[in-house]
Amino acid sequence: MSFNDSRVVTALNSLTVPVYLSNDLVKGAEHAALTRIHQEGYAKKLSVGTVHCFLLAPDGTLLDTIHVAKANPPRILEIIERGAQEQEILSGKPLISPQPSALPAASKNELRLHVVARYLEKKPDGSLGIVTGAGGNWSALPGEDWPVFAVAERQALLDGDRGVAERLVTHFYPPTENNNLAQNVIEALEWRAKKLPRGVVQLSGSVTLKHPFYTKDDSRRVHAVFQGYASDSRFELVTTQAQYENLPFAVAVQRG
Amino acid sequence: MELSPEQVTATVKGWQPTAQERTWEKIGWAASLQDALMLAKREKRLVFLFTLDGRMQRGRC
Repeated sequence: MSFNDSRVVTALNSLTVPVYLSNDLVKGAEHAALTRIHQEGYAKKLSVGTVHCFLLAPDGTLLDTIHVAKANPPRILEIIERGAQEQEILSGKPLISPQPSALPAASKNELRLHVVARYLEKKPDGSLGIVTGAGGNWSALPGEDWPVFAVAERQALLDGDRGVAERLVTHFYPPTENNNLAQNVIEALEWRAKKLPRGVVQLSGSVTLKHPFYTKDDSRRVHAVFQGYASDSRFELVTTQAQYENLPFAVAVQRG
Repeated sequence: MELSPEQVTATVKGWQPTAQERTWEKIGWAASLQDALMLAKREKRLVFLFTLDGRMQRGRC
């Protein structure tokens, strides 16, 4: 992701007011403002789309755009620096302090899990490890989710309840452009919970999950095998084998 | 192969997002497009708008 490039971070903080919008949450006045930006882009024959970068002048005039597939660090820096020069922008301190990510609320008794799903790549020794140096493509970053389970649901997970487990394993897919969980179809799920001494539960199972890469339906599927352990204070689960079509990936779950 | 509790813990730790993968959180994002437009006009800054499917804080876009 280009936003993890320190030069891009510096340029965004010192020359711009950065803002991001999740398309499905854009409503009201914000929708009207975004529509105006899109229309201006079409009129200027610039690239316009839903997953895009837009650079605006201080008065809100659209200056340039970049399709996400071309939004690499050099291209982002190029349009910011050119825009800053044309608009005579003075470099300064960030206007807004960076804030930590807000997580879904969970009460003390609820179980909030942190699910990390990331592609793996084959290393020189033949083992699979996390992807490094992939640039801005889909495999470069982990996906994260924080599903919350009520007290009864937490217990159901530890009792081997397949129905509640579905709500967890539906997050077991690597980064894709489609994040609509409603489109996921669990075709097969084994969820086993074996009671061990001292209140520990050993978790294991497997899932076959149909998950389209884009919002348009396709035949791509996840096949994953997982293991883990849970107790009053712990919930940890990892895939021991997982593929999305023919791409290896991994999932790690813990309280979070 | 059955993993021990310690092996599961180590694997969970090894697959967490790295500091480099969280660099984007050092960006001072505006809370809304209206806020960004207002602030840019007042402070004479450009607005950099990124629109996405999914959620930025979930690393899924």
